[in-house]
Amino acid sequence: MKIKLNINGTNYESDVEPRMLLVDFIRDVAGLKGTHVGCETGSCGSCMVLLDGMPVKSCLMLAVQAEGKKIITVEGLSGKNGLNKVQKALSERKALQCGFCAAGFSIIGTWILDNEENVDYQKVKEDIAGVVCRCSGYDQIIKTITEVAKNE
Amino acid sequence: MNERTEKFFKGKGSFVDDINFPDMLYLEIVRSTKAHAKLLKVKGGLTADALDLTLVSTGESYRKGKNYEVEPVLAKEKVLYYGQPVSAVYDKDKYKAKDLAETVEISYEELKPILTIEDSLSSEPIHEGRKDNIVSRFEVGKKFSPESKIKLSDELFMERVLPNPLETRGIVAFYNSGKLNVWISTQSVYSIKNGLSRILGLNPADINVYQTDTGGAFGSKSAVYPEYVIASYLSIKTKKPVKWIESREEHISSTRPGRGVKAQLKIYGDEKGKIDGIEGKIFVDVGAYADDLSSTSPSWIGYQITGPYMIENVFIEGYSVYTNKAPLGPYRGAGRPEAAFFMERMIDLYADHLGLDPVDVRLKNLPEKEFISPTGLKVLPSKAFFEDGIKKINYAELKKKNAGISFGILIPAVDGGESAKIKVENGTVKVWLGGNAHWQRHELFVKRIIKEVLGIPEDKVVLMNGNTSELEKGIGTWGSRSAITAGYALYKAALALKEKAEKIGLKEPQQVLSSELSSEYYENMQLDPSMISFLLTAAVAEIEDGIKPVIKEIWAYYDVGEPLSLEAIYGQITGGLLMGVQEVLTEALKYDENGKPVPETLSATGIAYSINAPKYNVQITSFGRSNTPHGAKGVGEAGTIGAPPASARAIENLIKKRVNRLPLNLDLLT
Ligand code: FES
Ligand code: FES
Repeated sequence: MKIKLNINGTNYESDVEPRMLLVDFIRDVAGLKGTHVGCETGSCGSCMVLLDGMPVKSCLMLAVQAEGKKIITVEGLSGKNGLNKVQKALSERKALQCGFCAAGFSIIGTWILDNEENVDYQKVKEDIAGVVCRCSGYDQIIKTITEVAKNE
Repeated sequence: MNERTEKFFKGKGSFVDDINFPDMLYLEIVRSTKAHAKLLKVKGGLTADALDLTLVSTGESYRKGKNYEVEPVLAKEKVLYYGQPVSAVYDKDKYKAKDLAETVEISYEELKPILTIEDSLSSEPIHEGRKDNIVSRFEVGKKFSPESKIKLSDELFMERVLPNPLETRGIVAFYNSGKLNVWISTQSVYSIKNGLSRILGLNPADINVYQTDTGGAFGSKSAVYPEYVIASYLSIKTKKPVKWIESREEHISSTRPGRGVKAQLKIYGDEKGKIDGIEGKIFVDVGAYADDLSSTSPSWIGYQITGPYMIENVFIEGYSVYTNKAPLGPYRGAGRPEAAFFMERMIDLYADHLGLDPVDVRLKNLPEKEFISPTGLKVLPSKAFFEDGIKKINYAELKKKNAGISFGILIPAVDGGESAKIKVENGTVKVWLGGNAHWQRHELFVKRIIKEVLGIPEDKVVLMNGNTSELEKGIGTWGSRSAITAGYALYKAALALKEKAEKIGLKEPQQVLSSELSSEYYENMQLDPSMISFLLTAAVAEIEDGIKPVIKEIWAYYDVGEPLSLEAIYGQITGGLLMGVQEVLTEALKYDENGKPVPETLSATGIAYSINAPKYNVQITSFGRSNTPHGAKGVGEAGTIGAPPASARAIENLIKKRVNRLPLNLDLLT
């Protein structure tokens, strides 16, 4: 079936199988490889994107269900080639190790920045609970997002 | 700004699933849905009829030379674990390949699966032609006849645990103009290259292995697996690129998990807290097939059982045994956490029996000078380190919160040494290491060493992914070895480059940077006691929601030698600590009575989410440099060694019941 998705402000049109997952559309059709697949069952948040501003796991949705919505992936969080504040801080402070979870924490971190008030360590710890980082033990990630949010 | 880090945030990483070629085929593996069965019929796809290899070699003679059973690439006649590869299909469409997998017909005659160490020892052999299920038997230390006043025994168990890197395993194989090119998520391009050449009978010169960005590994990406052989074989046959990406479900059933170890131990001592000896048996459940690492695992655990202590009498018998479960592999720590958990839990038992403070008993048994254990382990005196640490973590306060404490050592796997290559090109210094980085932030120590030796600023230095055509020889990244071994090789390579530069009159860093020089260094290394680091860990537990024990605080006072990068070390320590804590609480790979893995999703494997993280208090310190020019010690596995015994003790203090099995048996609480 033919579908048209708006990702990072660009329209992508393609003839796909009705069962195609949103994450596969993002990666294989739109060619945006920053969104990752870690579990296929909603357990890890590696595939997280913003759908009309809300963080969703794109492995739990069919591509066709996202028609007519505004999808933002890790590549679309800021202007061309740049990084937004959360990404910049996570990167500079070396909060991550293998980097596979970067998209998930960039997305959820940006959402926190845009939506949460009175952010503190505990709040961030709870807000990121759907995104797995298997390497870092989370501490540097939580500290970094908290600090950026406090300086908003 | 650090390019290597930044790219992940721009979505510009190239993990293995990001690698695509035109005309690429997607491989799907059809796996056994029985843990132990005869294969009556396999119809469809590539089967053992066409591809009859084992993970050792094509030569039957070589296979027989090993005294253990090696995994076949595709099961033949019998399946011995749930998730074992039986057939393989492919298609140029990913979804179609999955459909195709559904069409393969397999019929089984089920046999009773052997699923525990106890059953393995008392049952008929699962491998025909063997007399029992024992893979190997070891003795370490020396038999002794104790006359001690105190004699205490216990049985301890650590369940299987999945490595679960966030990125699963994967490979793209492309046979092109007589060469097999492989892009792979791995800890060692060299073990992949050597393995594929041996198994497929290819000339090593005809194989290039490129490491893709690697999204974690924790031991699971060091060895050659059946899927890699199948993908390579199919690419050679079809002359097309073949991609295989593991699903999380496959990771749970078929990637090699770690731990799965039981110990029956006796500790001997006097009435004042001096330990006379430790003795007992260690059993490792290696699953359906073995390799060098899993078959020798019990002796490696036994070798380091005395940890930092001076215990004059040691005798351990070790057994590895077959079961109908996925073959065992290394999991972060690989033997070190097992030894520490066993010894530390026995010391707590002994201290409790005497009514002494567990810390006092530990301090009392540290050596005053270099000590060689009856197993051959050589450790330096560490009393000053632990006494200091006890103050630094304020043990007096922690004690009021019923904290658990562990003392430990980290023996880095330095044997074999490592290689490094430096190439100056277009104003950039490119570095390749034999050990391939994947979560440890190697680039930070690489930049530091280059800056220190050559004076070249850090932003001009790039650490490249592993590549066998750039750097021909190397070992790999595991066992907390890289800072020591690859760091050493890089240091030497940098000195060699400096010498070359000076010979042709290039003195200033800027001049070197505009040159086209390169250098390479490889040296074998041997373990020296100065490379062993000391670890002091404390944990505080609490009961949440009236029923659930959690670890609230974790304290680490860790010796890292000369710290090469504090940020990287901090993250590695917290990451390891959380894994260690979780292994005590929930993380486990259990099997049902039919031998099927119980967890079906990533979350069901019990891994830690952010809300499970305790409050960390990490103090990084140096208790002397290692005997290397750059002074580094290992760190990668520190947290997984220290956290389990400390956390288990903290919970024990809370619930007033002995914790000797991991993960925690929740029935203990009722
Ligand atoms: S891949 Fe979507 S949550 Fe894990
Ligand atoms: S850095 Fe590896 S999963 Fe987060």
